[in-house]
Parts: sequence; structure tokens; C-alpha cells
Amino acid sequence: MPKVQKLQREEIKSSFLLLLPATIGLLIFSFYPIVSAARTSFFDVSALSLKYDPIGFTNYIKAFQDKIFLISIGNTLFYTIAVVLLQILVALIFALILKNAFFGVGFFRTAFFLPAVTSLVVVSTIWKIFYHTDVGIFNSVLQTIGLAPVGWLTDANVVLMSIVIVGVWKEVGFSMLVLLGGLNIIPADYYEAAAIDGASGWTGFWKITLPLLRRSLLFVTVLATINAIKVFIPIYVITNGGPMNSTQTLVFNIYRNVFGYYKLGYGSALSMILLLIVGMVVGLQFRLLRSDVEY
Amino acid sequence: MKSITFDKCTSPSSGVHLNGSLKGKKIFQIILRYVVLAIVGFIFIFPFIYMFLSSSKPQAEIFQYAFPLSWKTLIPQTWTLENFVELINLLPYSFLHYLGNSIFVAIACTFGSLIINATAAYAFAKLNFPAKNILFGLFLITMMVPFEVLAIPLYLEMRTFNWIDSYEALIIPWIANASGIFLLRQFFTEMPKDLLDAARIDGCNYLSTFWYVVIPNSIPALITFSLIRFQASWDSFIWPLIVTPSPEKRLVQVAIATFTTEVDTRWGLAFGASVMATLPILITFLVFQRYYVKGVMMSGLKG
Amino acid sequence: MKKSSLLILLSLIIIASLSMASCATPAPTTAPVADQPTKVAASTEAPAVSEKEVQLTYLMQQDAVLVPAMQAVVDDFMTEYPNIKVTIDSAPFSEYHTKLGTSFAGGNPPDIFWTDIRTAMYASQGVLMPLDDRITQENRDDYLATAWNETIYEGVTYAVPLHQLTEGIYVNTQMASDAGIVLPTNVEEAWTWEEFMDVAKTLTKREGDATLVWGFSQQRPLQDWSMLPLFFQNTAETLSPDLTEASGYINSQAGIEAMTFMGSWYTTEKIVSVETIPDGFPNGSLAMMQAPSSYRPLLESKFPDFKFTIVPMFKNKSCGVTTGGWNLGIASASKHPEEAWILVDYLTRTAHEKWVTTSGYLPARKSVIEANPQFGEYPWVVFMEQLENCAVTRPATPKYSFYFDTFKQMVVDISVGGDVTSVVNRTAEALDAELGQ
Repeated sequence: MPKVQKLQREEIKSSFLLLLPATIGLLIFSFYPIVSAARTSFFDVSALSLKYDPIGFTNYIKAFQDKIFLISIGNTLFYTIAVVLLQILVALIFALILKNAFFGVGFFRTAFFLPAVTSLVVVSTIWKIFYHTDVGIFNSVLQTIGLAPVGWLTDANVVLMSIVIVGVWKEVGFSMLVLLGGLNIIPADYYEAAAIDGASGWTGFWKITLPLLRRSLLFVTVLATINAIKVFIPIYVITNGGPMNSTQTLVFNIYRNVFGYYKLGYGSALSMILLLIVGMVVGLQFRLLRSDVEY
Repeated sequence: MKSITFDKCTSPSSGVHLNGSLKGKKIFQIILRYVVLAIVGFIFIFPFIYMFLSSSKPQAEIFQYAFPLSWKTLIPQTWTLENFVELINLLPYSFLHYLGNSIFVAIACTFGSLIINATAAYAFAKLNFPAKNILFGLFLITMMVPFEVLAIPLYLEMRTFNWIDSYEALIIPWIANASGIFLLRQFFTEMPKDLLDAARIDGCNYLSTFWYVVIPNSIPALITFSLIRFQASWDSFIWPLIVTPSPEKRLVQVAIATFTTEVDTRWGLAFGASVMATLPILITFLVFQRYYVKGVMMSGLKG
Repeated sequence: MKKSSLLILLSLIIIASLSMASCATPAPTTAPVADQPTKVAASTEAPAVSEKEVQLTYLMQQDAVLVPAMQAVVDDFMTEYPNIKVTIDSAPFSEYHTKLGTSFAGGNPPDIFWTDIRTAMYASQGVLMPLDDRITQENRDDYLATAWNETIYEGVTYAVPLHQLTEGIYVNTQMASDAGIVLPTNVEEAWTWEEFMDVAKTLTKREGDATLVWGFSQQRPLQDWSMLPLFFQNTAETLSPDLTEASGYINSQAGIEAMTFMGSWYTTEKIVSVETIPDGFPNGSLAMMQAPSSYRPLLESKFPDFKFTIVPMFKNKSCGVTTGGWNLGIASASKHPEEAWILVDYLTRTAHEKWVTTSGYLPARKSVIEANPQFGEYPWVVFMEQLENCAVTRPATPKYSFYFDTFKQMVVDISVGGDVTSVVNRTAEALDAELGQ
């Protein structure tokens, strides 16, 4: 039918116009550098002289023989899983508590969201001071209540968890905000119907809240994952990858190679491996949390 | 925590039939909720309290009572504005100059970002066109490569455009932003289809639907988006460092880093500067509080 | 979005980039290294001043004291050479090399800039201008010999020392006299490792598990700058003379001993806190602090009531203290190499005295040291004596950044209780693999 075709054409034309500016921007300032990095990954290049020496897959082969790189993959995955799980869980609890209006709700929402809008460099510096084994406020408090001090930044088994705490603290407010939005568009009559059927609160949560929250959950999970895998500033400011390589992460390693050793080719190869890892993880999340719910 | 969760899930129906013992339980739950929230809330804002109190101490006092723990660890013995006075009189430019630069750059970024990403997000959320998922996937990929490795190719582009040491380099590359599109797509997707269909039936085309229906109905979402983009620009560090050599165009985060030198960190200035750098965001935040609280709730749509 | 389609996209990118890789178009490189010999030889007379106005950019470390001090010197210069306009840009200390390195990559480096032990790294990539033709023998001889160590790569000089820097131990005067400790005044009397350990243990104050006062600390903790002297004091090196091998040097018997001694500070004797305590020295929670000469003016201005005494570094089989500083280099891409050299020569020769007295760094020129009797008196003499007799320089390898990170990782791992021998051996392996390439 010509009418339908015309409508479709109009839709496609509109889409094209709506997408054009963003696509141009991303092409020039994101895709071009990405393709350039992908290309660079097949060269031996010093970032200082930019003399390109083609070496095929050597950078990739070297990457998988690089002990620190392999350690950094493990650390990054641990960090990502820990941060994403904790962040989503805590954000969900906050969102459920702060969903309804009560006296002071605005204050608490602001408090939890505040870290999300402050400089990561600044807050990392402050956490580093708090974490100090000998004079930090955390161990002071632990000792005051009679507990043994913790080597927040000196015990190789603990340090990555310390960074996880900073990550969760910083990002949880944003996830909470999105989940609050998701919770608030679930129509109240769903719960009323469930209550009439005799469903308890927990059942309501499992049967109504969680399924209807899937799209919001997918969104915060994907964003949280991408951010967590790229963790850099807290490592750079607080631990520098140590001690005992316990906080070596992918992007920290990439930064070191590119800006420390000027190994642009090698750093680019590491980034392409990172891209592959993030791509697979995010693809998996889309598959697992796909939601077809329409309200 | 658990009991509170339970309480919130049943709240829509529980108000109707309260009896005496339930009422007692309810009051207990409310008290518990406030106690837990107060403790957790305190942990969340404590670093900011610490930052503010430290910036109000004389240079020599900041770490004087760090250990052992006492009220002096936090509360200044001598309240002073000397750090802020020094920041305002900083050479070669006052810290306010860097703040001004950052505010200008962040507003420009946010504004451009709002227009460009909102239109794209709307197309992804509500329109159908070929290769939609593939295009969206491509956009997502731009979020997956760390900036650290893109910095040098991007820097070379800036050279080509002759944008080194310019505001263009600080603003234009950051306007189109995949995570921004993802965020707004999320908001727009949740907008009821009926509303858009109604507009279509009234004769609006897609572009005018966007302008007359989507935009007015998602002001809170757009404000939330703006806050996040504003903050991302505000927080940028490595890029402004390498792309603007002159102090004239320096941004706040780079200025804060200059207080750590070869020999020492000027903690008083660093904390003072951090307070000054946090205030604009905090103020914007409080002003728009009622919006972002509604932000993602789309409350306007439900009436 | 399906996982499979994402994978297809990723492979598309890879294929596209592979096809581009096969073309192997070289990207524009920075201007070629000056290969024709430069004509103008440096001289003490004012060089011929060209009529045209020239703009020079100058990158240095950002610092509230240093930038104004340098600006004053540069203003003098511009009065003398009105046709050369110099703009000073500055970068924060911790990101200085990120910024300088990127400007080389972009082909628009500053004409002249501060460069440190990483001079060899820049020189190896051809981005620095060789200066041998311009530095006269008389000029070279006026410097303390150690000052040139950081500026030479493969026999060619690429930078001129701006000043020198070295360290001493700052002692809390009150605490030392309360404990009846006799403070050494020259290298001859400097504490041995055992004497130092006794002093540090005496000054450490504990109450139960908590340490109220730590005996010792370092202003630049857990890095080569502070810890390299331990190797040299024990007559060990960290690298072979050609700087390509670490095995047999860093993990020699003497090297392991040095690191075991350092490890005992943190683990068995607990005289040093693993993490730095900000402002801990002037606040009385650190009794001694190993710090550079430039720490003194800062302490005096920030904590005017605090009393401290500076003593020479401890020694073992011999004395040893890290020296180095900032040097001035010229970019090979500079469009005005002649004028850039005039500025470098002015700053390092004519202005040397003014610069070191206003910046707090140490002089590197014999003529300036001799002309100023103050450098023979306390506190200067503590540093100057060590500079002349105990100088240790960090290895000027083109892979210094890697050396720095690897060394730092080694000392950090030992400080948190890692087994010394295995950590040092692992470090030797890592260094061999990278430096040997």
C-alpha cells in the first residue's frame, strides 16, 4: 500500500535527520580515533616520534605473554563483577527505600547522588587519606571500637576491595536514580491486584517489581559494566597498580604503556583486546536481560 | 534493610487496614528507616564534610590532629578563609578564572550535547529504520574503548583542525556522546506509546512530535541528563591537560593538580579548590533538585 | 542487540583496520633531527641579534614559587634581547611528561623545556636537538661533573643542566636533643646503617599497637630517587654499565642486602610507615625525614615555628645520595633553534646564580659555588659536600620510565612484606626482558 510506504519513508527520512548530527560527531571524534587505534595496533610505534613500523600481530602475541597484562585482566574482571553486583544491589535497596515521599527524602536522594557528580580525582585523593593504615580515619575508628586495623592499601588481599568500595560509593547514586525512575513507572494497580490475590511483599517484589524493572536494570548494568571495566583514576591516584600487582587493571596498564612508555602500538593492541572483552560482556548482558515489556 | 524493603513493596495497600499492633510496628519501622538512612547518608557525605572542614583550617593545622582520632581531627581549631583568599589571588590567574573556564566549557558541552544526543536518542527509542540495532551497537562501541588510547589520534586531529589550545578542542569533540544517547534512549523508551500516537493522529510529523510532545514531557529527564553531562565535562582532566598548554585556558581539575608539586602538596589549597570546584555542581544540583527527583519518574505523563 | 551481531561489528572493525595496515602509510613525523652541523658556536659575548621578532615557547614544571622565579629571570632576558619574546607554559609535576610527550607526538612541542632523567628517552626518539656543537669546553668544565650525567645519550649531549638537587636527612631538633642524640655535621661523621637504625629506633615512640612517632620517613617514598643510594652505599649497582641488564647487579649479594635493610624499616623494625603521613614531619609524627634541599624553604614558610636540623645521608661501605635536577632541552622541531639556544645559554649561564638563589635548588656551576660563600655554610654545605663526593645518578636509559615503575613496584612489594630475594629476582627478570630489547 502506497500510504504505508510513504509513512515508512517519512519515518526513515526523519530518523536520518535526527541521527545525522550525532553520527557525524561520533564519526569524526570517536570512530576515526578508534579505527586509527585499531590500525596502530599492527605497528611498532613510539608515541614520541610517530614512526610506524609494521609488525603484524606481534603486539597481540606479546600481550598474551605479558604477565602483568594477564594479571590485569583477572583483576579487572574481579573488580567489574564486584562493583557491578554491589552497585546494582545497593542501588536497588536505596531506590526501594526512597521510592515514596517521606520527610527528608530529597535530602537522602541528594546525599546518595552527590558522589556521582563530584570529581573522581578529588574523591580518590580523600579516600586515600581515609584508608591510611597508620593514621587513616577508618583504622582509627576500628581501633577505637577495639577491632584490629586493616591494611586497606598495604594488604595485597584487601587493596582491590578497597578500590571496589570507592567505585561503588561513587557510582551507586546514579544507578539508584535510574532505578527510581523505573520503579515509578510501574503502575500502582499492579501491586493492588497482587495484594488482592494475597501475594506478600516479597512475592510482589519477585513477581512484579523485578520483571518490570528489567529494562532499567539492563541499562544500569550495561553502563556500570562499561565504566567498571575502564576503571583508571582511583588506581592512578590511590595505588598505582600495587602492591604485588594486586590492583593492576587493563586501562591502567594501557595508560602506562601509552603515556609512560610511549608504546602506542602496544597500547592500542591492548585496547582492542579490551574492546573485545567489553563487547562480549555487554552483548551477553543484552541477551540475558532483554526485555520486551511495553507499558 | 530487609524489613524496610518489605514495607515499601506493600505500602500501596497497607495504609487501609492498620490496627494497633501494626501501627506500633509501623512506627518502629519508620524509626529504623531513619536510623539506617542517617548512618548510610552520613557515610556518603562524610568525604565532603571532611573536605569542607579541612579547607577551613590553616595550612599547618590540616593534618596536625589526624592521629589519634579526636574531635580535633575534623573540627578546625582556628577557622580561617586564608586558603580561599589565596586561591582567589592566585598567580598568574585567580582560581576563579579557571572556574569560569570550566563553567563556560561545561555549559557549552552540555547545551550542544543536549540537542544532538536527544534527537538521536529519540530516533533510537521511538522510530523504526533499517539497521537500527547495528547502528546502536556501533554507537555503544565508542564507549568501550578507553579514552587513554584515543587521546593521541584525537590530539593529532586537533592539530589538523588547528584547535590546539582552543576552546573548540575542549568542547566540540565531547558533544556527540554515546553514553548520553544511551541514557536518553532509556528515558524516551519509557514514554508511553499512546502519547506519541495521539500526537501523530493529530497530524504531527516525527520532528514536530519530538519538539512538541517528547521534549516538553521529558524536561526532568533532560535536566538529569544535563547534570550528568555537565559533570562529565567538569571532571575532565587528561584531555584539557594535553590540549591546552597555556594557563589562560586551563580548567579546574588541571588547576587542582598543580597544587601537588615536586616537593609537596599544598593541601589547604587543594581542599579549598576542591570545595570551590564542587560548589557550582552542588548548587546546580540543589536548584534542580525537585526536577531530578522527579527526573526519571516522568510524573508529568501519569496525570 | 545480539551478541552475534556485536561480534560481527567487531570483526568488521578489525578487518577494516587490517586492510589499512597493509597500506602502511607512514604518518607525518616530527621535523627531522638537525643533521647539518649548526653554524653558530656558543660564546660568552652576546650573540648576533637578528632584527626580526621571534616567539619562543617554554614549558616548565608548575609551581607557585618556581614559575614566578623563572618569569623574573626570563623578563631579564627579554630586556636584554628585545626581539625574542618568551611565553612560559607550565604543567603539574605528576603529569609533566604526559603533557610534554603528547606535544612531541603532535609535532608542536615547546621550543625549550625542562627535561630530567628522561632526556635519554626523548633523545632516543630524535625529538631533542643535539647541543654538543654549542656547548664550549669551558662552559662544560664549569659544571660539577655529575650534573651532565642526565643529559647525555649515546655520547651526545641533548640538554644543559639548570641546577642540581640532592637530599639530606631533616631531623626534628627537639626530639633529637630530648633523646640525647648527637647529630653528624659532615659526610665524615655521617651515621652508618647500624647507627642510623639505632637512632631511628630510639626516636620511634609506640603506645600499645599504635605508633605515635615514626623514627624515619622519606619525602619521595618508595621510589628509585630515595632508595637507589642504598645500593650504592652497599657498593652495588642496579644495572650493568651499558644499562641493558639487571640480573647479577640488582640481585647481587650486595643488592639483596641493601633491599633487606630497607625491608627491615617497614617489617621487622617498623621505624617507617608504609604510607606517607601528610605533613607528618612538621606535625611531630615523623622524627626524621629524608628530603631534598628544596624542602627547606617550604618548611620554613609553612611551619615557621618548627625547628629542624639537616644532617647528611647515612652511609654503609661508602656514602651515596641521589642527585639530579632539571635540564633545559631544545626541540628538534623548533623553528627557531638559534634563538632557543641563546635563551638556554642565558638561563643556564648568565642567570644561573639568580635562578638557584630564588628557586631553592642547588647550584651546578663551580664559578657560582665559589663566588657565593653561603654555599660553604650550613645548611647548604650539607648538600654541597654530598653533591661533590657522594653523587648517585639514576640510570639514563631510554627506557627509564619502565625502570622507574619496575623499581617502584619492587620497593613497594618489599615494604608490604614480600620476600626480598624473590621480589628482587622477579624485578631483575622483568628489567632484563625490557631493557635487553
